Amino acid sequence: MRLLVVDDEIELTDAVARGLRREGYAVDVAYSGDESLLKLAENSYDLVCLDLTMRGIDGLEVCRRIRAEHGSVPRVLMLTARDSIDDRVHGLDVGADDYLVKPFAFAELSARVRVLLRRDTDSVSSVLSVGDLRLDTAMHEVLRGRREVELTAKEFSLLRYFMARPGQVMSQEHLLEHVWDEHADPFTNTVRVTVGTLRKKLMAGGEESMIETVIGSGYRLLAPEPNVSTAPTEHRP
Amino acid sequence: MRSTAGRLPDWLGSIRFRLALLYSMLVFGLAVLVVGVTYGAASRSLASTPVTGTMERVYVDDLECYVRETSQFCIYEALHTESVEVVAPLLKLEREINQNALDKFRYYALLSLGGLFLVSIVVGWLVADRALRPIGRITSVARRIQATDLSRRIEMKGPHDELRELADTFDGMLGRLDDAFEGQRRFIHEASHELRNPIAVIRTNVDVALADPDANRDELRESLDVVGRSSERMSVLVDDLLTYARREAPAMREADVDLGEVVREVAEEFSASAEARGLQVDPAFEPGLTVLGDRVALKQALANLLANAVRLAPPGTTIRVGCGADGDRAWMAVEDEGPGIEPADQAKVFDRFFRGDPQRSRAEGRSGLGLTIVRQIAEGHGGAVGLSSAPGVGSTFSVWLPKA
Repeated sequence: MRLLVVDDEIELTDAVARGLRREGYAVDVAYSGDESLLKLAENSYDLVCLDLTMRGIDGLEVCRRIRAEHGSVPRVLMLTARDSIDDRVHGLDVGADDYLVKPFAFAELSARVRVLLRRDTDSVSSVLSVGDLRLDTAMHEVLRGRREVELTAKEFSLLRYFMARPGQVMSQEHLLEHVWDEHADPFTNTVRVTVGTLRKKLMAGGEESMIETVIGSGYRLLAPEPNVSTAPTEHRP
Repeated sequence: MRSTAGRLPDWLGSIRFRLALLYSMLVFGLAVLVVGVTYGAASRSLASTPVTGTMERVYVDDLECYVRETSQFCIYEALHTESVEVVAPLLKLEREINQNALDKFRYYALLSLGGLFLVSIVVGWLVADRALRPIGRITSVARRIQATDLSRRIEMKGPHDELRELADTFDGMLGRLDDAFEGQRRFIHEASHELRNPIAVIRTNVDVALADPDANRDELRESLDVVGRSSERMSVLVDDLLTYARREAPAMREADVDLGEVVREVAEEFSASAEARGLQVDPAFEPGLTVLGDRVALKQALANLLANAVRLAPPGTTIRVGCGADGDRAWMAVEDEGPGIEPADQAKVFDRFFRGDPQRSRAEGRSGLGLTIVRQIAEGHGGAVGLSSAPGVGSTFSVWLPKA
């Protein structure tokens, strides 16, 4: 999941980005409306955390342009120090998906980001499940059957991206764009390496492989036979 | 008295009722007076000069000719037979006729006075209603006005009378209140925005630092640095906000202030920080130039202007600070040699929370209220602020004050 954080409060932007990166997202930052438009044109984001009041091009204008040029794909979470009902309604009217008033608890921001990203996956809980593999996006836990799988932030983020799109073939470029941030070097084999280690970790208990390489196209996540299940399951107790 | 009035129905205590009563009493009283005077005069003149008395004298002088002319037929007959004695019953007859007429007059007068009384009450009630209707309108508008919504106006139409004037006065007052409240609301809105941002920075940095169990010393130190800077910025902002809010109330201490002294002291205060940036502060002032005002406030105004110049002027340049008089106005001014202000921004620099370079000014922990406070102090003294600036050349900020 690739996120863009836009705010002209540099120290807030950096802290939010740091926190979200630790949750396993690929996060880019922009410190002005103009900068955010450049990054939006260059990369494709799954979610944009957007400050409403910025000098020059403000958050409303950025949001309007996102909706005009990119459709509904990047979710937009407005961050703002304005809290009047009018401001909120206006923000939602131009196409923001959610609204968070500053100052906020980081845990709340992170929960809202999770909820907004989940809208793409039809899931109603924070637990993604494919076959005997379960991933809890809130608790940052991965279980293969009953075995807990220890993953790095990047592997976690890659697995979450796979599990949100089970069975779908995704190219290296696509994964690089959505799971890695702007600092990733597009000419390295970082995607191949990370997919490789993730695949090994998921099989470490002697289970069957779940990540399939589709030669010439990319990778896909499949539940091993016979219990093919791509539907999300109910909450874990 | 009070307790009786308390038990009376409301309408008895209303101005409408009292106006109606007053009106009716006046009309009725005047009518009684007119009728009474007419009645009194008629009855007196009828009694004192009976027509038959005149006739008697006429009869004595020239009987036939006069009586015929007045064509009093029956009297004429009577006069022919018995001259003097018939006159007496005739006088009595006349008195009775007169009395009868006066009685009829009195009867109808009283009757019509009674009618007039009733009619005047009703007319008075209606007239009072018409006269008081605008007041009712003013009352109902005033009742609907809330502290949160002062947009309503009475907007009375009609002739320019006293009530219209009252309504217009109300509208004017509401307009001024609305402006004041709107200004206050805008200020709170802007101030809350300004305060929330540093709080958000602090909170997010603390949250993110605390949520990371593996954070090392350097990372924690960096977070603390950010928190420290934001707190500093907030405390400057809160100080300036309080200064600004306090100055909003016109509570300036009035005394003779020597502007030359103000210039000298402020220039001295800033000489060290100016030197540190390689700047020279050159004070120039006339001794003995005084204005009536608040010494602390005037010093602060000049200090705010000088602080901006010291922060922004290119190293190696000179900042001139001085005071003088022009006609009946005195001035204090700070002149620097750069960087100057873009024409588009010149009108905005005195606005609340305006910052030429927001990111830089936040990093420096400035509130965006410095020049606003200068303007506020100048206006609080019945003066004004002035600015002339050219990008790349320099700026001159001035405070104009009425001379003592």
